[in-house]
Amino acid sequence: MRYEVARWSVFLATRERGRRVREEIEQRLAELPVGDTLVLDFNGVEGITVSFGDECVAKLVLGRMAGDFADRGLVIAGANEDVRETLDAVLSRRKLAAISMSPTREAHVLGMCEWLPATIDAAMILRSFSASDLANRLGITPQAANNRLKVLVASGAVARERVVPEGGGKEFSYTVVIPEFA
Amino acid sequence: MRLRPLSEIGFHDDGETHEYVRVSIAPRWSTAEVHAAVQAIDGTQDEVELMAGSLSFATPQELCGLRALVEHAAMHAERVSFDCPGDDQANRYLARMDFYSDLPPNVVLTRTVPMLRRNDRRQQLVELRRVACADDVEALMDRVAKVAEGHFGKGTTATACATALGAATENVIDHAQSPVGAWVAAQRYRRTGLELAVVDLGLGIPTTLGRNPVHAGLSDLDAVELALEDRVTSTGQDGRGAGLAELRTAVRQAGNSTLVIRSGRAHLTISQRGSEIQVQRFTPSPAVPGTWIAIRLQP
Repeated sequence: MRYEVARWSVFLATRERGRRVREEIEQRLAELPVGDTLVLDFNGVEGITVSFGDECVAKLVLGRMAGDFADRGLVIAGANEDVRETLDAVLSRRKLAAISMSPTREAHVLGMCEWLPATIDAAMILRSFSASDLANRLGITPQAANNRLKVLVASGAVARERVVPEGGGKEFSYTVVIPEFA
Repeated sequence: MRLRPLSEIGFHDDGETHEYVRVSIAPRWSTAEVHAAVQAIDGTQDEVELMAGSLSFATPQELCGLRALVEHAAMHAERVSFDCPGDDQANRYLARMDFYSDLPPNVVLTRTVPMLRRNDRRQQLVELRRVACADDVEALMDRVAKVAEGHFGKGTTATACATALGAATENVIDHAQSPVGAWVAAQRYRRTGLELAVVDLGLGIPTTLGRNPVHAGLSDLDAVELALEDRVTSTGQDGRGAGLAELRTAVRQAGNSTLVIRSGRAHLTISQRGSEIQVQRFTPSPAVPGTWIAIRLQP
């Protein structure tokens, strides 16, 4: 499913607008089947302000960090250099990240990206995995893998689903949901 | 800075006594005169006379300031008389810039507004407009981008100009509580470049920033300078404090530029020529009501 941001305006500004667009995106996410990905299409948007970007995209990612729509994917597409730069800044300010797809279908990390690209690469290879699978792949502790997965799920690249393991209890299963790599 | 007494407070006596303020706007007036006039018009007068008959030229910031003064006067007096420029060219320019559009109903003009044939000047100017909501800010950004494209060509710099004005105006909407809203105009001059202006008569940057206890007690100049830094916020909330920093960054990206911010007892000028940056700090008198921002982007 695709959400065309430019239907609002070619330039986007103010927190009020950011909040309204975010609420509509959240509604679309709610309608999306579990495991599917919503593409935030910025084609036709020439520029956005930091206030808009923070209120719309950063708070959307922040919500995912808290578990909202974590079982669905989210990816940014069609953003020009100016829009990507602003989104990169607003996400970095909150130590968050999102995935932007280029026209050549390459995934780029916007925002906080110290260890995220390497983690996404590992997730791409695993495709569907548990936290301990990722920990083993990266050679890090399960706790560190869980922390990374929280940011990874928030970024929209990976969806998280609760599964009931054979021995009972609760566990999460993670699936890469960036369309080109899923 | 030139400062001359311009406000005269007196009485008309036509059987009844009416208190009035008469503001004389000199041919080449300074914004300080408007600042003094805003303070002189305090709601106790019945009538305000704004004498702009000898006005011969106005920059975008002066236009914004003058219109903000008209709005302020209209809110505080029963009747405002605006003496339009006698110079036909100046009067036509005011009309072309929409200075006379949507005036408050209690404003009376001394001359007929000239009828103009409007050529498409989207790459030369942004007519005077009030910005009060998201739609206004976004429409403004689109117009500023067009003017900036006329100056810099299509691309990142033009978008940076649009973003700078967008950030400055949304800051007014979010924080200024300006009773007259934010007034914006832009004009591209062949020799001196592009000038953009935003004027409001709200709380001002020092007062707004001072609401955050962390920044309370700063001088007005220090407060304005600090407000241009990223993450400096009046609310202390995460993700905020970007508006004026975004303005500063966008102006810097545009190259040779001058950013002038007046607010309260602060008048800050940041000039950039290539990699050389100069900061000049003044303490204006009288204090500047609200926030007055002028951006000049030289060729």
